Amino acid sequence: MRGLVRRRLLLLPVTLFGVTVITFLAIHLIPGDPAEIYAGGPLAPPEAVEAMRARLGLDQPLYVQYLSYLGRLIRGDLGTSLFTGKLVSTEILERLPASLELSVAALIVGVPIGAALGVLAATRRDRGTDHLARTLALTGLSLPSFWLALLLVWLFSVKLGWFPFGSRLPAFADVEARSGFVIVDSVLAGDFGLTLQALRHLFLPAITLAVIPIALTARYLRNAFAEELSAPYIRTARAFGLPERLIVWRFALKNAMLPLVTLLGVLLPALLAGAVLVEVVFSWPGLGTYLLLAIQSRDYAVVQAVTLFLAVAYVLASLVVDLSYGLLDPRVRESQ
Amino acid sequence: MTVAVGTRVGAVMGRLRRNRLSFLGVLIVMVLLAVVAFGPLVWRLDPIQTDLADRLAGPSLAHPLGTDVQGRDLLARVLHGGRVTILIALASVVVALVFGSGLGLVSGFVRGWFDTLVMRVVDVLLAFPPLLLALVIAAARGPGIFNTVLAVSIPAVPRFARLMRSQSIAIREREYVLAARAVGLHPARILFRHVLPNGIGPVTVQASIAAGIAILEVAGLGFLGLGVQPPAPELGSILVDSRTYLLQQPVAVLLPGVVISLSILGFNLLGDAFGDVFDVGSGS
Repeated sequence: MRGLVRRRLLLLPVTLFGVTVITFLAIHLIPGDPAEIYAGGPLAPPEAVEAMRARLGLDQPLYVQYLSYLGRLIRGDLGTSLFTGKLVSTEILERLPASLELSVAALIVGVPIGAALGVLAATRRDRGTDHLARTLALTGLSLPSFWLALLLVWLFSVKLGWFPFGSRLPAFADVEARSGFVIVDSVLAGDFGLTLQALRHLFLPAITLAVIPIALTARYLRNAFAEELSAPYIRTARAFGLPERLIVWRFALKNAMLPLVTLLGVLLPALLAGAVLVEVVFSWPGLGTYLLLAIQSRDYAVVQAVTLFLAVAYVLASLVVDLSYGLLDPRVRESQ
Repeated sequence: MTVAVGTRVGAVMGRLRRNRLSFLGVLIVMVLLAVVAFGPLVWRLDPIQTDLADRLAGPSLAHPLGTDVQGRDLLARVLHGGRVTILIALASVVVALVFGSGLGLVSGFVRGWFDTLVMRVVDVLLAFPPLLLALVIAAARGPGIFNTVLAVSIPAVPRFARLMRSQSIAIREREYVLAARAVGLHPARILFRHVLPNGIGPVTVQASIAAGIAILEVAGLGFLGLGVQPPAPELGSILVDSRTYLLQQPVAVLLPGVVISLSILGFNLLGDAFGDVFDVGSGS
């Protein structure tokens, strides 16, 4: 375990270094001259392009540009949005709560449903319930989120009118931003009517996004649980005549839950990125719509910064998961 | 020789028959490929030709699925769109498979600094969520078919590389490789005649799964306006075109989505089928 931790921790800077190199070089992937694009396109006067080139440091050698990029990152400077003129780090922090709210809601809805499906399937292996649960999981993994989003909006917002569509709150509603999470803020403000409104706005996008964790959790837990149930120690426990309830719920499920930690850690950052399409359909003001707006307005500083932010979050989350997995499972802890 | 091949095919069919879902996967993918390959040859209406006098028409003999907001035949658009989406997705998988497996094959076989370098690059690429990487590449390179292939294939390279590398490492220690070395065969010959054919099984499983993901990404990029550009039909861009007219022409939103979902499902199940055939892992 100590060897594993050391290896993972030693590799972390290497990976992060590589990530910054890629986001740095991404700006040079853009066809044409970034200075010209930043200065306003092919019609920009040559002196403006040169001024922009000097301002962006693009007249410097590549390694100097990279070092100054790295220097700015270390000081927490992710650059300035060309479009709004605000600091990208500020804008990311403003939009992060909306994305987190959506992803966490999808996890809260999705993981228990998926876990229930997985357990049902594993305990009734190769019977109707098992086939149904596995088919549901497979179907869930095959549905494009943006299409599902359109269908849900059509059915629940347009046809039935049960849930509102677009943004996090009703128009003109406002709440003092303390945490940035509308639900938490409205509770803190004591405005429970608004909390209810916010929950209704959250419902459809969260359900759409929850399909991924439902399907993945169900499949993962079904396989882990089924494998655990056929392990020798379970056979021994049965031979000793222990009650089936004890065997299934206390022994097998507990061991099958372990890999779920890995899944959770991979799910959250994956949802943050996967939410882009869902956020766009629901006009949800999170990082996904932010990224897409930046792409459409060719605001490359923002694209670069959001990509870096999500990648670093992804790397750190998988590190935490790997390490916590080691802490939770004695077999991993003791090995090496 | 023929006997050996015959029994092998028989065994494969036997395994497929035992797992009905895998069989369904093979079936879906075959029907899908046939429909997008031959559909546009049979139903010959132009998917781009507009007819503003016949906008948002219901089903008729001339247009069995009706027309879209610009009076274009929906059946023709979905057939051509399916062809475009699936061709781009499969091309991306082939590119990723060739590059990724090639890198993995060599780096696992030669080890040393080359292996270390390749694996660190793979680690870095894996640090980006695949959809995010595809999005950013598509955004940087601009829309279009070639750039979509690039955007979808690059995020898929690392998984092929890792998989083939582990196969390569395992196989280079086998006796027949040692024997081949002992006879003094050229390393390239050993690599392509012995290591590659014996390690390719799990790669086919990965390729199927990657095809499903690629279809999702191609359609997603089209949906966001970063993939294939209108008026060329592509399932994702047909969807986004039609979303405003969902109430008047629901088929235009329903059908492309059904085709996308079915193809992803088909390729995922096909992956299971390959897993059965090559006896990779133990799904059930």
